[in-house]
Amino acid sequence: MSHEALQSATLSRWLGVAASARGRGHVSKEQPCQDASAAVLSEGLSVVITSDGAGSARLSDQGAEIAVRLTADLLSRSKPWDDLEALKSSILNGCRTALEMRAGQIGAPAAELAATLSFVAIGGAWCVVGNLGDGLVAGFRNGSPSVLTALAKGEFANETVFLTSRGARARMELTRYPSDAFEAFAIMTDGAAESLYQRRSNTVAPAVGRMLHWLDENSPDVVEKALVDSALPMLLARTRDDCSVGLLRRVSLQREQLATRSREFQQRFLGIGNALGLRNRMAVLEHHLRGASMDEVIEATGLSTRTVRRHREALSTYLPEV
Amino acid sequence: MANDLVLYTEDLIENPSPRVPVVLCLDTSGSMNGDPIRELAQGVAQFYASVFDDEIARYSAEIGIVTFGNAGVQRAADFGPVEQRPNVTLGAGGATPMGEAVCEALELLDERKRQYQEAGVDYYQPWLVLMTDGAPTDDIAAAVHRVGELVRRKKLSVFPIGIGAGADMGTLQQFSPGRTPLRLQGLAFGKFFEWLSASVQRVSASTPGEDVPLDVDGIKGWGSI
Repeated sequence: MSHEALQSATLSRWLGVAASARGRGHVSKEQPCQDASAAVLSEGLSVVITSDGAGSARLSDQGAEIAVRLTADLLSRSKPWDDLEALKSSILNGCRTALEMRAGQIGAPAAELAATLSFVAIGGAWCVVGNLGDGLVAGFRNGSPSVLTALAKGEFANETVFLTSRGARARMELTRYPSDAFEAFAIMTDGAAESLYQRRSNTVAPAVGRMLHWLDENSPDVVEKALVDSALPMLLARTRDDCSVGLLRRVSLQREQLATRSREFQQRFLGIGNALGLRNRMAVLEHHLRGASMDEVIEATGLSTRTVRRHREALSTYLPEV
Repeated sequence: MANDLVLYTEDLIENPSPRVPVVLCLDTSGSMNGDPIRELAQGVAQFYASVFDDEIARYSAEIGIVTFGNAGVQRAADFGPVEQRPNVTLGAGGATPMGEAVCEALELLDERKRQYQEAGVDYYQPWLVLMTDGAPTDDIAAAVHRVGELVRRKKLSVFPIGIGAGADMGTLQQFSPGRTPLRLQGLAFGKFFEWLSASVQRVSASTPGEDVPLDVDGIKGWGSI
């Protein structure tokens, strides 16, 4: 790659966030939030997951937590997701076994832990979109959203399908796309969809695109706080149900743009946990973008060969030419 | 600005409230003349008022009325928002074409469900309230079959209510495979519709996925087996 090309090279990585909040209906009945959500961002894997515990199931808050935690783990262990049927089996069987085990521990039927599941996972060449129940997943391409899986309800407002339901396998949607097919995803539980999805036109609200753009300039921690403090309360005011939102966006920046971001943003973007590591990784990046060889980077930064190699390997995730 | 980390109301979507369709299938035959039809009319008016007074049920509940007896089978009130309280006048007379009336009530429900689906409006399981003080004077086989099938597939909740000692509870039982028909205590229409309104309000205020059990204790205030 030429020096000029390197200088103008774009660093790209998926950043994501997820948050849940308890609905007014559950607050008034002193019941817990039955939604759960998670965003997992690691090198080579980016996942957002939401789960909505069944309103009629006594322990569904636990079911939703188990479903989210386990699905993140199963997606990580099932890469590269070449076989979608095997992935579906892994998720459904894994979640059902965990829910049955938990039910056994507390002496309740597994149906008491009934929960839905929605997720987007990006790793390597693929992104996988999964949905079981009345959650929603939207994908954005060139700024335009399309609904990828929408609110698989039964005929009535209070009916859907759960991980513990008979027929879950047949009704679970699992689709694989090339990892560059979309630049962003949003997932949500049905409570959030009340304000973020128009059933009649099968479109998502402008607010979804707005929230995704927050990830361009703010670290996921800051966006999570904005979701919890500002966005979710607006959604909660318009429904009695719990609300969960997950956002995942491929953020693309040039070196100069990255330098203007907060230290927290830089750390999350470059996948480094502390200030010293960030300084070293930025230095390695800087020299690399000037076209320096490995030896030149070592000499210029004073870092060990091992350290430089480690930073270059990590950077290759965001900048394939490194 | 996309990055000011706030949402604006105009960026959100206003979906219509999920609806609870309730169809009242009411006996207005000659035997209802006098106090029964008067009390029934008052009860229906009270039902509308009580649902309207609840801030959630007002926008969720929709009430349709089919009468059988006076002037045959009549759509006394089509489904619509409770705030547009229709002027329902009930008069007693004629026979008891219950079978035809129940089929008409199911048609009314089907039409409304189609409208909900076309408009993207969510709805709860519909309710059919069947009230009579006598026995049918027409063939009820088709109506019984249709209702039974819907109840079996959990597509309909039926509340069969007998009025007075002359109500044919055996017939009402045929319309309600899963729930024992109840007999109204005297002319306690007011208490029944109060209970029905409270039940509709509980469904309206439920969160999606939540089972809403019937207020069985409340039935003691107006009914008996």
